[in-house]
Amino acid sequence: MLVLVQFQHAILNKFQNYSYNLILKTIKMCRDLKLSLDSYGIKVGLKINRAFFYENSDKIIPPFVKIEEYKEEKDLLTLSIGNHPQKGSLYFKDELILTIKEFNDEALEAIRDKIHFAIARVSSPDKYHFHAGAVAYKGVGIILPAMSFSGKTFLSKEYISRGATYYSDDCAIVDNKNYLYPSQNPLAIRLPDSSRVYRTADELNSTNGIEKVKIKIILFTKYSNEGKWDPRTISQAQSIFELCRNFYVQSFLAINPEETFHFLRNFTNDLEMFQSERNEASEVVEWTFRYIDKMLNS
Amino acid sequence: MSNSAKPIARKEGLVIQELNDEVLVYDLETNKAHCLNESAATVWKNCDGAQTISEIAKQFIEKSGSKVNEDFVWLAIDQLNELNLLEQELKPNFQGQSRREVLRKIGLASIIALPIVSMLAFPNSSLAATCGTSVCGEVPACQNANPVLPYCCAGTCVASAGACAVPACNP
Repeated sequence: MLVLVQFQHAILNKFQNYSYNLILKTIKMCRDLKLSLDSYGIKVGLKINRAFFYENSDKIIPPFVKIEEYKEEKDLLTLSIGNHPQKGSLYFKDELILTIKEFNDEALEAIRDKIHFAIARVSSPDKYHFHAGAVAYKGVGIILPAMSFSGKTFLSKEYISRGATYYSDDCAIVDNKNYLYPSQNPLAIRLPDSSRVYRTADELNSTNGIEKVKIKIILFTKYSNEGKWDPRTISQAQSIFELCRNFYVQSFLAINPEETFHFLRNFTNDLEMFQSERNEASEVVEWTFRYIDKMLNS
Repeated sequence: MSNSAKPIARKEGLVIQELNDEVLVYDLETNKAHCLNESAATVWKNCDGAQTISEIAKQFIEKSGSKVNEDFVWLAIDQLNELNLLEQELKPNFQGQSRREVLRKIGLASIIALPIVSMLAFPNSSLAATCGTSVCGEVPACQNANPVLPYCCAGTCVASAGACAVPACNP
């Protein structure tokens, strides 16, 4: 009996030698958390490892999303962490949308982007997301759809430094009545070494959009060393075609092309549509402001 | 193929949006979007299986007042062929001239825009790639060494390098 008690005591001691945090961490890792992600009234559920969420929520949750108590959302994202803690999978309604081999910064950014896509997918047809800069000047919304590395953020920054109101430098959220919503994400400014720094409009001494604003102008432009600013009006078909280069639009087209075309047609119906390469961002901004002043005075 | 050929516009598997005088087409089979300018759209809309190339050319003359010939229509047919927007393939009939020569002749003589069909191809995925990080979430086309880039948005997998030859997507 004494031997048994001593044996039990030895096991207990060995167990107690592990740090409290390690035990807690192990327990935490076994527990999943369920949340609701709310983006302007559109809700998506998220099932995720609790510890992982606490450590990384600021990196994986898009800035325009509010986190709320879970309420049995029918559209559910699930982030599963595999047997190896460095591997995982992200599912959206049982569809595998991302495989992760290592949870590094790039993976966290990819998770955030996929969460964003899932929300965008659920948002349509009430709201659409465009990969675009967006600003407003004197109550007129301007949307700047463009690919990555075309100078969207730089141009958005130039607009707001000269008095426009900031809405987005990367993702413009619009509804089916052509209203642009503030996305509240900071500008992701690229540095010469390709890294990024994040600055809010306030930090750049500029104004953040608070209310939704009607979009009146769509401008397709990209930076080029030899670019010459010479904006020409383009047709509605050309404008929609240019929007089809946008990867959010592509994903909507793949899901429901009829509805997406219908949305794009309505969206571009009453817009002034222009296209041009550019060199100096200031030229673009000055032209836009003059155009809007003329529009408002006529 | 002679000017008496009667081309037929494909409708099956396409989502078509007519906008003023231009046409947008989304091909469900290939996930490609096409924009037909006014001239190309006029040709395509007249490819009803009942009109010959010559008759379509006459339609143009009546509509635009501009003198166009069968070569003009064949230019549009050539592009529509290539992009699989016709029911049956029709080989162009440029009377022994190269396409470039025909383009030059028509471009100089015509006051209306040459028929142009623009095309965009994009990934076949309901949740498209995040091109900022070049990460794709769809069925893999390439397995490589990058821990978060197991697939290629576009381009080909270079197995020896363990990476995609064209890593940039088309956002």
